Amino acid sequence: MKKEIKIPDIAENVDTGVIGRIIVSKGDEVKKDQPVVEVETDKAATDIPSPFDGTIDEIMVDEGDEVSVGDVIMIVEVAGEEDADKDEHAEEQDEQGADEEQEEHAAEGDQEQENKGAAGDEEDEDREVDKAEDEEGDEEGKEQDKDAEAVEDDDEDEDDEDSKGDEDEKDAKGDEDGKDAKGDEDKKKKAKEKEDAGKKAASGSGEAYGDGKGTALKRAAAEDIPAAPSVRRMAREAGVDLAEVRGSGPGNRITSEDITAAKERREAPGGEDKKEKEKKATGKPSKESAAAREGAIELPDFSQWGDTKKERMNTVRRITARTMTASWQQIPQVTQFDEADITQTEAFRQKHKDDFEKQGGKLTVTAILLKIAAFALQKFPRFNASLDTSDNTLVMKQYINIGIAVDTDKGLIVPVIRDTDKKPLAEISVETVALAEKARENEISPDELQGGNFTISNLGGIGGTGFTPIVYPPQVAILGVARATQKQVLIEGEGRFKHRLVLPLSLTYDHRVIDGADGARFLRWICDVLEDPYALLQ
Amino acid sequence: MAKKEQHKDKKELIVIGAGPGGYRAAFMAADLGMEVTLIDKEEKPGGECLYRGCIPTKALLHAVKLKDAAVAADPMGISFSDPDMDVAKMARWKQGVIDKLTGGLAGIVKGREIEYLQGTAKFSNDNTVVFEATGGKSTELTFEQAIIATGATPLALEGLEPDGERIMGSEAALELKDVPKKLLVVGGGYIGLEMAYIYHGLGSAVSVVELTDGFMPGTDRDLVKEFNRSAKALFEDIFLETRVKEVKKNKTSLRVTFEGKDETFSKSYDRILVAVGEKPDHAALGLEATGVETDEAGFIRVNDQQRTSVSHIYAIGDVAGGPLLAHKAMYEGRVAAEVAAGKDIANDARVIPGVVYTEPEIAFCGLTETGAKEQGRSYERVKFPWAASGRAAAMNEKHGFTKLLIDPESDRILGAGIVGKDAGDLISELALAIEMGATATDVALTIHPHPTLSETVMEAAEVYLGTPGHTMNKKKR
Repeated sequence: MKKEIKIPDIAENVDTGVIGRIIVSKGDEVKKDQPVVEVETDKAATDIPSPFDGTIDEIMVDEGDEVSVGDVIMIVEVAGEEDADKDEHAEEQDEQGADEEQEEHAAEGDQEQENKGAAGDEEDEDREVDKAEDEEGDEEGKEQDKDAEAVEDDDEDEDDEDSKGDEDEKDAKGDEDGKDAKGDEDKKKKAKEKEDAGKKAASGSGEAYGDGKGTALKRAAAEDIPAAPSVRRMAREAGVDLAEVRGSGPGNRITSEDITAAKERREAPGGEDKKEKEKKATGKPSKESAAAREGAIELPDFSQWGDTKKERMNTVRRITARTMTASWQQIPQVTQFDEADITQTEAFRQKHKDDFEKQGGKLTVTAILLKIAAFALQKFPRFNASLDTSDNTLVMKQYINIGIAVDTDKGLIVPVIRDTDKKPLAEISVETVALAEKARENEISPDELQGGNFTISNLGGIGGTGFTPIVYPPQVAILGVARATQKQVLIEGEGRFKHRLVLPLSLTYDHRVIDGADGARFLRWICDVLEDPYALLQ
Repeated sequence: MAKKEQHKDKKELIVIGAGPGGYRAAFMAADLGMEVTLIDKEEKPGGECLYRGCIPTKALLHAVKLKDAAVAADPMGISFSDPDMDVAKMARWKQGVIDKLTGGLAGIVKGREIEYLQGTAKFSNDNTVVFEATGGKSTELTFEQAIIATGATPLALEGLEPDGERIMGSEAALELKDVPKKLLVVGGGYIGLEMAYIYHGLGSAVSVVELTDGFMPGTDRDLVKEFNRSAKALFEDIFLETRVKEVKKNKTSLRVTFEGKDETFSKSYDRILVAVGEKPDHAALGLEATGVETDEAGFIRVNDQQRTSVSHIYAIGDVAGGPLLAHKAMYEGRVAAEVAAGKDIANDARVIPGVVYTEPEIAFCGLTETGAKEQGRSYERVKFPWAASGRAAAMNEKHGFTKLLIDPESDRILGAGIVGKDAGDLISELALAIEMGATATDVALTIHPHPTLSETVMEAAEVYLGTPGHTMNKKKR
């Protein structure tokens, strides 16, 4: 029987996502838990697994489609007749106790059930079940054989879906071919209008004429979308696909306002409509309009100068691009530079690194910085906040979670260490290693990527003297770490030079929330603590 | 008022058949500014529904139910002696109803300035019909668009063809020529049962023979079961899973040989009424001269805009298949007309209610339990028994229940089935609820008047939500 794959709860507070890569194709065999589709949220890209073994019967979404939790994205043909749901019926007795009703089963597709009669009743935890009365001619649940001759009007099967003859089926997307006919309608004089209307009517817009044998499930899926008749008409006129609208009414009912909003979204710059791109015969190449929509730089025709090859951006890349663009456009950022003498820190590290390794962690500069940053965020609470522009308030967080930037083959991933202030350095060092590994193995979950207040990005392992990291919204600051180098440092007051290990640090901050002096103070404090941990006590 | 100019050379829209589908399409098209030509063999619009179907049967059913109710009024302190049945008068009254309604339709045709042509039409190609006026000449009419609404005709069974005398189709049966002492109704669908009900009310001893194992195949069994309770008193014999093997026409009776599941037997009757279904009526339409396609059963294939394989020719109603119901034809009529007038709309009705006008009446719409099982669709079912309805008690009604099928995840109403007095008048609320995507809460929170039968709909929703107003609460929600 056919089962639906729906978008599950991806992560807390995540209701929508965008379909990234569709991993399987129609006809593929899948196993339970095998990923079938990639869904991108603001936080991460997640694979959605199939909940069943079976064969992919239908894929209802395309790459780039916006989906919500609960949306059906695929149909899987599952072998056997297992019932996902058993349905029960409450027998309601009247106050006199006259037993009017019989209790019956609604086991899906299970024909054997009816023969068990009363004895076979199953209980739903919510409803009591009364035993079925066996009356003669109890045909409960049996399929009625329609005699071939009795081409029925006697058949009172009011289920539209079965009995609309060979009417062509509404496909799940409800799209119409010949939408361009709409574009032909012009608002001229009545006579011309009629002529055009007549021509259009005669030209055959509407669903492509075919043999009309859509699957019952496809119909069921389309008809499952709650929308009043007037709203359905409105959607059709507006060229809006009901399957792509999120209903704002009770029970996810699609209202006329939802249709209007969907139409405006589609028409507004920055709105994305894949189908619009494909079907609109406006003459403008879609690439051009897409570029114009995002205010992006129009690409020249590179083939003038040589060959090119197109490479798809993976989901992580796309998310990073989106996030960084938003940060760059919305946050006025300044980077403060400083240096810390980590000679002592390095001595500490060398002394204790084996102990930490025994515990499964790695005593790194990053781990140490995480702990120091946790103290810093407590001392300078404004760096541990977010800016709420809707009411001009600062959201002062009472917890401290810090993210670490990890370079993986998929791109930049930032797992978050929760409660960095509460954990000892040993635990932090273990967790850092574990999360980084998870990130590189592509096993990190969206939850592990959320909730950070501050980020540390350490590129020192690779090299470089310094960089200007970009604030990761909704955070307000980020610490960049470059390569520590041995330097000749003039010891003040002694007139001589010593070799010291010097670590370049850079702090980028959101200037709407943090001013230059604050930034300098914060970074200097970190450097002071690195140089002399006793500074922590002050 | 000046008559609209008729284009003599090319008709903008012709509608063939003035039954519920045809006249509805014509009226809609005229309202949308089209010039419509409506062709039908009767003098006035109405089709099978008015002349030989819906209206006359409902009129007679009303009369018979009235009599039955009066006869059963004794417990309330009112008794009658045996009623005088003047069947001829009843037939005249029924005819009066038909005349009144068809007259009204004819008036609307004039008022909307629709060109009404009495006669038949036959296609000679995709753009031309030959119109043959009743008792008159033929003219060739070319058209831009056409709507076929020619309906369906009763199926005949071999050996049981209506003979104009003792073997009747429903049309002949409605003429009420006489009241047979013993009547056999062949076909246990809704037409057979309604006719059986009428004749039982007129005084015949009625038996029914049905091929399947129950009445009204396809209808949920619990609804039929409720009907069966009263049916036992209605029928002398009920033969299920039985077919008529042979009919021997003797001088004074018809000897019918039945072939049942286990045995073959014979019985005698005065009349036989055959109601085994209908087939699409387009044999004389000349479809073979067009590109219009039909399916294996002969119904005209249409898409969701009611277009046939020739896109400027539409088909609606019984001739296009689906449930053979007048209201479905009417809806399709308006869709076809709107599309023909240039609107980008489609037939997206989710619910076609059905009513069986026996007593108790049966009405249903939306998802049926039978249909749900076929689709493997999950649902939760609740019933409100009319034994707990104040109004039913006050009406001395003993039978009936209101059943709702609800989607367990969204609480939306998926389907409904009602059995009881005037069930047909209660079902429309559910049709609207389903079309609007209403949930059980929506229905439960809509104040229904008390005491009414419609209240049972709200009560059923409350049963689902776990806080019923007039029955014991068994749910632990």
